[in-house]
Amino acid sequence: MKEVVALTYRMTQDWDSAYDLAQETFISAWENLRTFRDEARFKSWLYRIASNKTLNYLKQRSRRPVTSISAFDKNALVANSGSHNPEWQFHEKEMQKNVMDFMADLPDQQRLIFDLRFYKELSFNEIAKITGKALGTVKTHYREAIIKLRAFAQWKGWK
Amino acid sequence: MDCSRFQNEVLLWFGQEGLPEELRDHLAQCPTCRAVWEELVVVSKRLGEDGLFHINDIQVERLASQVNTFLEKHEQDTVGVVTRIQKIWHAYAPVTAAAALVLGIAIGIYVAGKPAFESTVTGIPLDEASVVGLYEKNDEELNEGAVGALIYDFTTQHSYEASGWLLEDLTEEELEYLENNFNVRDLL
Repeated sequence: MKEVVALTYRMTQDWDSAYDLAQETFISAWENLRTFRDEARFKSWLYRIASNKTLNYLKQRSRRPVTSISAFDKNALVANSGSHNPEWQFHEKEMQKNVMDFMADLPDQQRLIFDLRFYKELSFNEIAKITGKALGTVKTHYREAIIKLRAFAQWKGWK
Repeated sequence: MDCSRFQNEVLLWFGQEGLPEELRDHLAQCPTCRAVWEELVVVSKRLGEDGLFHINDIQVERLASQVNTFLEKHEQDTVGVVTRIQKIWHAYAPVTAAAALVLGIAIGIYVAGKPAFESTVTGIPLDEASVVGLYEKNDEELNEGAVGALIYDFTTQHSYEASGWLLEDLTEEELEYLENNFNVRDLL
């Protein structure tokens, strides 16, 4: 459940939408359990549902994701940090903000592929199945995302 | 493997723990590419892990509760519709069956009693009074026009069976007369 919410959150950059999409994902999964094929990993199947719902949502929203984190978001993430050390919490917030800033500049499909590869550590074959894209297209998207990331890192002065 | 190919390939392994043997071999002998890889590792660490974005347990419970509530309501709605149909069926099935039976009997009676041909003319009763007019005044010769009208009426207003009853009431002579003069069988 946490993994799905993390995916929908990074994709939408909005907690309310992320929660709604995660909820819809689990309801859809429950309703379509019969169609789940045993040979597919359950997580991949969930990611596919979540990805489709999120991409549809983003298409409908048809605007760039909001990069600011709402008050609700802050509470959620601070509570999640598991650390009461203010410095560490600050560090985590900075990381989250950087990720969101970087991902906000990626096109929806590229952001999804980057997320599934980098954060979910899925193989390119799995990502191709989830997104319905050709293997070569998936790799191209990922490569382009990393090139943009390197430029972003240079701009941020990450060493 | 040349540097260009390595630096192109290595992007696909960004964020992954290991590198394929071919890339590792090149990395071991090329300081330029090693610098690129080390830079990627630093950037990768800056992005954190999936857990950095995980919601806390309280929020997981809240979300799970929302999903469960929706699913329970959905299930109740589905079961509710089935139950309602079952209740209606149990309550009204006997009444409906009885009504259908009564209606069926009524239709049966109506159909059985209905004449085969519709007519606005009142039927001709098979009594002596109606037969009287069939004969001429001397009561020996049949009135041709009266018999013709009678046959016509019966064949247009009544069933063949009713016409048959009429013929049974006639004597053999009368029937012979009708057969000779009116081609009664064709007419019936």
